[in-house]
Formats: sequence, structure tokens, C-alpha cells
Amino acid sequence: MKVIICEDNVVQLEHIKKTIENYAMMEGNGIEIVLTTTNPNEVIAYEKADCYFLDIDLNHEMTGLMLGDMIRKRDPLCNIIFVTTHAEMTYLTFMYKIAALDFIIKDHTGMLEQKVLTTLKVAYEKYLQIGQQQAPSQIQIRANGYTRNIAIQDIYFFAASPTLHKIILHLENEHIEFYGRLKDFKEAHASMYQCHKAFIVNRQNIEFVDHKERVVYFKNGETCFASARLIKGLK
Amino acid sequence: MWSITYFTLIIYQLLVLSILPLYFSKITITKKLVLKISLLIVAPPVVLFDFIGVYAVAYVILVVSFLVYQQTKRWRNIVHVLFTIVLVVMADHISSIVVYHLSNGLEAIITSPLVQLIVSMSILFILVIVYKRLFRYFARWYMFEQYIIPAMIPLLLMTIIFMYTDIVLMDGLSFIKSVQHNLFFFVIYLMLFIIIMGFFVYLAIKNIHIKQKEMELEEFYSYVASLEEINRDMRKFKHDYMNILTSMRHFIDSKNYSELETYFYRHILQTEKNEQAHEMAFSMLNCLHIASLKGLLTTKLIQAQTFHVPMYVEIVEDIERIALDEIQLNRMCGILLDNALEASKNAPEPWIRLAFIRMDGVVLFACMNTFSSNQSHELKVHEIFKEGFSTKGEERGLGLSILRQMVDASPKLRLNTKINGNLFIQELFIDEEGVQI
Repeated sequence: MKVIICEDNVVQLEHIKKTIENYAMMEGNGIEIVLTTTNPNEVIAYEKADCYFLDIDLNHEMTGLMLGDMIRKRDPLCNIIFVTTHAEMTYLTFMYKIAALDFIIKDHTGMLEQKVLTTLKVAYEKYLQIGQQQAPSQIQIRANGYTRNIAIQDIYFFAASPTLHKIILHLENEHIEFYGRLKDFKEAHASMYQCHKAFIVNRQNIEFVDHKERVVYFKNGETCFASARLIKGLK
Repeated sequence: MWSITYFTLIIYQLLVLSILPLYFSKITITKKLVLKISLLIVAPPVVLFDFIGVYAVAYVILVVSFLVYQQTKRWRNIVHVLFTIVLVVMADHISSIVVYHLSNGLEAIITSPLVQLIVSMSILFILVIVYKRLFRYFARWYMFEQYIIPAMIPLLLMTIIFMYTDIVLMDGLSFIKSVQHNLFFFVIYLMLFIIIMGFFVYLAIKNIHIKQKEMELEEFYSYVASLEEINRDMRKFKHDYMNILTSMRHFIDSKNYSELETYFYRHILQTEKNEQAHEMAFSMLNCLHIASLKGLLTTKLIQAQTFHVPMYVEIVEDIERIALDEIQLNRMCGILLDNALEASKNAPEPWIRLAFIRMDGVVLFACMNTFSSNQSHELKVHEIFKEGFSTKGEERGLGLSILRQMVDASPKLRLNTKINGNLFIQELFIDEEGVQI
């Protein structure tokens, strides 16, 4: 796994570099620092790495957010970790915009090394997983500019909005709304079943079906309707 | 023979009057309901029609309204009952005239109840479809439920009273003439009705805009006041810095480094942290260039401060504009923030974190807050959007269901909701202009 560190404070830069190098030497698992720099342009010029440690305030016209955004656009799979002071912490922005793996807060000096290492380990595990194929028991949705893989067993049902080409995907305790057509998910997996013009349910998560009132009850207490014709398939 | 057709006609009318409102209100018709309808609505007027005549309509309106309210718990659906009556009477009249003109004056056709029935049914069918379409179209508009329907109910009631007085009074004239004359009045009345409605709507919109402007101004003042306060705090902090430095000098002079360390971590870093959260939030608002939204956020920040809920705001990139009606935008953000504040202030570890983030073609408003989780019942996402859901009992918790309705009505909006342990996360995506599906 190739690692790049970009940090404007030379002392901090050295500190993180040392921490990672020591760990890599001890483990010998192929973690390698390919670039340490104070200049974000060098990061962009460098071909490609798998894991980035970036300072948010780079003392440069390019901020860590812009740099992270550029890296993310180029490589959707790499791990990006931000190093920041408590005050600069804009957690949600980095999560949503760049899908940052984690944050390391510089202010807690004693904790820094430990935090760098735990984050590095998580990044390494994710790096190993990337090589593996997408599991067949997942459904991929493109929602709001990012792609999400959702395990079949987490899906409760899809509900279509009547006119606007929007779908709300209901998970156990989450609703995800995105543009799409219901019929694209009908054949997505054997346990998906369209029980109504506006609903595709996951058979695995049905608690029971009330055939008289034509209501499907799910394990989390949620309900949806089934049409008279299609409910027969839910026996 | 006469009495049989007479009875069928009355029963047909009563059935239409009771079933159409149920259909408009999206109530599924069960066996139990059919029984109720036939016992409560159809039977008494059939028996009593001879004695009370057209006043049976008043009875039907009352009972059907009650039934609709009982089934849906929304008194606004009564508008469907009233409209059904108007539609039925209209259909009846139009069909009389249509039949009269098409029959070339043939007495047999005009008086044939079967012809009348078929024609009036088909006209009613068309009217029902038009009404349903129009209603669905207007219902998308979020002001419709709140302002227009309540204004419509008294107007419709007046219309019906007017129509029936007219019907009762017309008995003296010759049949077709009075029908024509009636229809003429109805059309005039309907036009008046539409004009008055239009006027109401205009007034309501104007009123909302004025209120909005007032609120914006007020919020802007509180924004300015908060800036002044921050300025004062900064001056105080500068002053404190001098004191802190002098006290540190004392430790350094006496070479008491271990105590210096505790002093530094305990006191200095701590004060700084307390100052930061609030000030950071305000400085983040600089990037937001929508005055009314800025005002709203300021108000909520101050509210959060009085509840002792730390509120972190993240607006890293400039937000010049959001492609959504400003009133609607503020209303939705207001609902999300109120909800977050309400939920978080009772949490063991209260905080709110929100962000406006520009992504490819969308602006994301994300709001994350803690809430106090109930040990006995784990809160589920689908429960919170139910109308009337609130952790605080009845008559509250309308907010989120309104939010859901607004999102459903607009092709530009998407809302994701997630509960993760004691964290509640809402993501509102607003498409930028020019982005099509």
C-alpha cells in the first residue's frame, strides 16, 4: 500500500512519517511511504497512491479540502485521512464530499501516534478488500452522486413515488431516497418481489403478510401495501 | 313502477354522495364501511324523504363528513364531501339540459329516468376525473392544505345552501326553464367563487411574504447583535490573554514546569475550546450568502446556546444561492433544526452538527444530532414521519411529516434519514438548477 503524507508543518510531517515507517518496518506487510511533502502540487503531480494523510490547512492557496476533492475525483477507491486541529474540524463536509476515512486531531499530542496507527490499519484492511470482487449478495444504487453497495439482507423494501421518478429505499433504520425506476430492482435478487405497483419487498425481512387487509408487515414494525393480484406471490 | 325508479334514483344519489367523498379521501372501502353507509346514510333518507324532502341533503352532509373524519382523522377532507355535492348537482343539471337539447322535445325521452341516469352518470364521471386531477395538482403546493382548504369550506357551504334554496324555489317554474335558469346562476356563482378564492390566495401569499420579511429582518438584527457580542468577547479574550501570559510567566520564573503543564492544559486550552464552538459557527455563516437562511441559522444558534446545546455549523464553500423557493427552503431547514434542537436538548450528551455542502449538481444540507434513546423502545425511522409522532405527546411532531410531504411534492428534493445508535442523521439534497433527472 503506497502512502502519501502532505502537511505544512515540517515537524509534524516528520513525526507522522516516523510513526508509519516504524510500524511498516516492524510488520513488513508492504506499507510504503512514497511521498512526504509540504506542497500539495507535488501530491497531484505524483501518479497514484492508495492512502493519503492530508493536513486541512496547508498554508497554500490550495486547501486540504480542494486537494482531497481532486484526489477523490481521480481515484474513488483510495483512502483519505485528514490531519487537523480541533478548530478546523469540519467533519460532515469531509465525510460527504470526500468520503474521508477518518480524522486525526493534532491537538492531542499524546494520542497522535496511536491514532495514526489505528487509522493506518483500517486503511490497510480496506485496501486489501478492494482487490476482492463485489459480493453477489449486494445491490448497488447510485444515490446523489455517490455509489452505495447495500447488502441484500439489509434491504426491507423499495417504495416508488407515484409521479416523480424517485425511489425511497427502506432499510432497518434508514431511508435512502434517489432517482430511479422501480423495475430496475425487480430482478436484482431472487428474494426481491414486487407486491404492488409502488413496492418491491425483500422476502427475507417480512414478518408476516395480512392477506385479508393486504398489508405486509416487516421485522422492524414497518408496513407496506400489496395489491390483490400480486399478493398471491407472497404465500 | 314509478316508486321503484324513484327509489333507485334516490339510492343511486345517496350512494354517490357517500362513496365519492370516501374515494377522494383515499379511504379503502371495507365490508364494515359499506354496512355503516347503508345503515346510517342510505336508509334514513330513503324512509324519511317524503317528510323532509331536499333537507335530507343536510343530514347526508353531516353523516358523511363525520364518517370521513372518523376514518382519516383529518377534518380537511370534509372539503371532498362538499365538493361531491356540488359536482353531483352540476352533473344533474348539465345532463337535464343535454338530454333536453338532444331529444328534440320528445317527451318520452326527457322524462325517461333511465336516459337521465345514464347521461348524468357519464357527466359525473368526467367531472370526478377532472376534480381528482385538479386536486392532485394543487395538493402539491404546500400552501394548499394550510390556507386554501380552510377558506374553501365556508365558501362551499355557502354554495350548497345557495344551490338548494334555488332548487326549492324553482318548483313554480316550468321544468326545463328553471333548470337552465339554475345552471346559469350556478355558473355565475362558480365564477364568483373562483374570483373570491383567487383573492384569498393572493392575500394569503402576500401575508406570508410580509411575515417572512419581518422575520428575516428580526433574524438579521439578532445576527448583528451576536456579531457584536462576539466582538466584545474577543476584546475580553485579548485582555485575558495578557493575564494568562503573566500568570505563565510566574510559573516560568519559578521554574515550576510540572505545574505550568497542568495549568496550560487545564485552564488555557479549556477556555479556548469553549470560546471556539460558538464563534466558529458564526464565522462559518460568512460563507452563506442567503440572507434569510443566515438569519434563521443565527436564531437557532442563539436558541441552541440558551439550551446549552453545542451547535457546530460547517459551511466551507461559498453558498451563493440554492435553487429553491426561499420560503420553502427556510421552512424545511427550520423544521430540521427545530427537530434537532428539541431532540438533542434532553440527550445525555447534547450536540448538533450541521453542514451545507456543495457537491456535483446538488447542495446537501446535513443535520446530525444526538437524542436520548428510550431504553424500552428502540426508535425507528419510519415512526418519526407519522403525523402526530412526537416524543412529547399529542399535537406535536407535525413538522417532520410536513417536511416529508414537501420533499415528496418536489422533483428537486430528496431526503435521507438514518438512526444510528443515539445519533439521528438527516440529509436533504437540493438539486441545482439545470440538472435534470
